[in-house]
Amino acid sequence: MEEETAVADWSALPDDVVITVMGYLADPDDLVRSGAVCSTWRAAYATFRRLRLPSTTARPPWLLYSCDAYGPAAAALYCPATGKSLRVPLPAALLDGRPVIGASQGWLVTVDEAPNLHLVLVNPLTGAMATLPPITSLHNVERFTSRKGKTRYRVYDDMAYNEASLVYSPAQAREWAYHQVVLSCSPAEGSACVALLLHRPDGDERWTPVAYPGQACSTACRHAIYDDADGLFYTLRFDGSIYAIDVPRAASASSSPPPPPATREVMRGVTDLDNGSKFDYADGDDVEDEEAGLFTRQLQIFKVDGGEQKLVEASAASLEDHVLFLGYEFSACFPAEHFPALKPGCAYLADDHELVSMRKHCRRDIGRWDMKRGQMERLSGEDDVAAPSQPWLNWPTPV
Amino acid sequence: MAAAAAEATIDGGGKMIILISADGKRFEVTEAVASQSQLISNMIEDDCTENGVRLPNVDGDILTMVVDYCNMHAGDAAADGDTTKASSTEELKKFDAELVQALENPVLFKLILAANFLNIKSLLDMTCQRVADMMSGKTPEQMRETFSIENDFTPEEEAAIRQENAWAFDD
Repeated sequence: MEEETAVADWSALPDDVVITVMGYLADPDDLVRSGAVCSTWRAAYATFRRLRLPSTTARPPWLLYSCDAYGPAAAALYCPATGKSLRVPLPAALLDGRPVIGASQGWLVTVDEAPNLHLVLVNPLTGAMATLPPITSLHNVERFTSRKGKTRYRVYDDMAYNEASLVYSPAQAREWAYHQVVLSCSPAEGSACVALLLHRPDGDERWTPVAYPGQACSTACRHAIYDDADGLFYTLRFDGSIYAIDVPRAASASSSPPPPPATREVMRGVTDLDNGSKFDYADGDDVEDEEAGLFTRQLQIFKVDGGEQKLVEASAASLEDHVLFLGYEFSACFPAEHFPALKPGCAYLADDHELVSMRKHCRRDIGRWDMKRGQMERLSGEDDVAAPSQPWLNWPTPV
Repeated sequence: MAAAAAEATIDGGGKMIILISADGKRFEVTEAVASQSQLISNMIEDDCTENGVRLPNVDGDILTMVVDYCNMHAGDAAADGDTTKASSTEELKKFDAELVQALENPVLFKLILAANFLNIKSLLDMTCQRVADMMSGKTPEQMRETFSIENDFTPEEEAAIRQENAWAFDD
């Protein structure tokens, strides 16, 4: 190689190297643009996505919202870690008035129109959609026509089918029957994804009901997360108990149904705590203000000690190297060193209260909570926010 | 010096081996240093390093950088008992940061190819990260400029690609 060429031919970089580089691109828009450079990089990009290779770098969550400036047919994505904003076109029907009841693995979970009230999964970056079974496929919901000829939904209180049932109009059922959806992986083509649905009232069964041994039916599930590392769902119930749920994956070739999900108690119930995740148990003490909605006034973080069966309050100092993202649909905790632009020792909050669906037109509870100072700061991306809900989203795998 | 080195052993480092670049430059390194290359590590296992390892894909300037890098990082791979030879983490970080920052076209390109060919994962990861940083926030046209890549799409193809994920091409 004596002949020193001034310019290297980067399009001649081997495919596997280009793919490695793509794994280091932190933002999904950089990844998409890298596939538009030349035909060899295009091929590498297609392989990267087809193989669903994991990204090498940690990916920061983005805040999804709608705003007046972008109009009804587009969502805004804002990344507090890079300060970047994207305008993502979406069919207006997907955002306008649809409740968002889940945000995981880069996908939103919304509810479509009556009569079926399907859960619809949408990936706002790719526009891909998937429809889950209708509301009547839940074991405790039936649809009927009232004497006045209107569609109504009867929702039974628990698995016992006792008299306790509620009758919802389509609008009420749409907002209230579903509680939260958590996905085990991106439901894009070729991957077997398990969706865990928490639904109202009092009961937290998936379409395959999840049984909680020894639990009274009166304590419902409040929050759920999926842990990629151990492949388990974790649910937090209103009484503060925490359960791990192992959902067996059906072998695709086998026609026999998979064994039922196994449930294990991680933590017995305690009182007066709500809202948490597997290791960090965050208590957002929301104070209700009749005029303006709900605001966070206090935030407590607890470490769950399953062995000792107790919660240990974590001091602000013990979290000063971490950044938390807390939302109704999505919670996560990252080492601060991955994202220099994020403020360490802070929790980025986005409407983590379940009653947000009743207060759509109030001021949003969005911002950055400084755990040391115990107060809320503004996020630069929150100006002009007008959406019904603002979930955190991240894209762990190629979009 | 090759003949003398063949039998020499250094405590912890084991035998010395000779690496020969495309332009005939010779580098004498310990097996521990060279083994950071998976390619050479396999050759050592197969006993094919007796007469030196010829690396026809890597020229002398680049091999100098690779050997420097491997010398610095030999402490990583070796057992942590030998603290005198192992570079401190701080030193390593500084060395890596300076190396990567100084890399420019076309040296970066050649170093990536060398790391890929020699299969030195940590060096490949570091240089790929640098390329990703150089791409971040750029439009496809700016990426082409940065890396002197010719746009070989037809206008129709390019329009179709932009159409597919229009949100990523707003600017």
